[in-house]
Amino acid sequence: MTNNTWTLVPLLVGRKHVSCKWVFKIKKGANGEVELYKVILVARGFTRTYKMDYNETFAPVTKFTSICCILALAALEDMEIHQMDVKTAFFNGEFKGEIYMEQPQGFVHQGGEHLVCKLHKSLYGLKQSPRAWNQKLNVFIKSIEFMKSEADPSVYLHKWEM
Amino acid sequence: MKFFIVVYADDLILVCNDQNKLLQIKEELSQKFEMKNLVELHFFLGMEVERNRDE
Repeated sequence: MTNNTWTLVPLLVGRKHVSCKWVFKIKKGANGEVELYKVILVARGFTRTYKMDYNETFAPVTKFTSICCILALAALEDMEIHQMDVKTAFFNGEFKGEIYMEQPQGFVHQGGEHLVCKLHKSLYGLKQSPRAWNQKLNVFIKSIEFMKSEADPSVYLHKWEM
Repeated sequence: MKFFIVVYADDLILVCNDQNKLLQIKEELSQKFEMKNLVELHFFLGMEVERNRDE
């Protein structure tokens, strides 16, 4: 793959691979009109077993009270509130371990039907994906001089105020 | 200066009392990850945010 999501390798004896499928979605706007047709490739991570095939999957999720607090503070002090959303966030995550997936339907390499995809980046559907993405983001946010809040691991504060 | 970043999966909220610093951090984030820049917060986790800053 051009974006280095995986490389094709022969599956070693004793290794398992996950299946995958294409998911088609129609995204509708607020008025129900069709806004966009989406297709994503998902790995069927639910076929894996905890401790056997994967270990760490924890990724922090913001506490709702944290959001309320910060918004209240922002209102009180008239701060700027901006929102950003990361496109295909999970593809940013990188795997350290070895995860193999079958070749996606319609994109099987000719003459290499026996090969499997060794994943370098996370895909939707894998148990490890949210964590892989979160760690990548965490490293970057820390590199631009932010610190993780001790009260809520998904909130970061600028170092200067600590 | 106060600056908070709240992360909810692939959504980020940035709160700062210094607009220039905010734009600078947004720029740094956009260079690292492909992002949709949504400017002012409107919807977050099914919540609608409206501000009246004149009062």
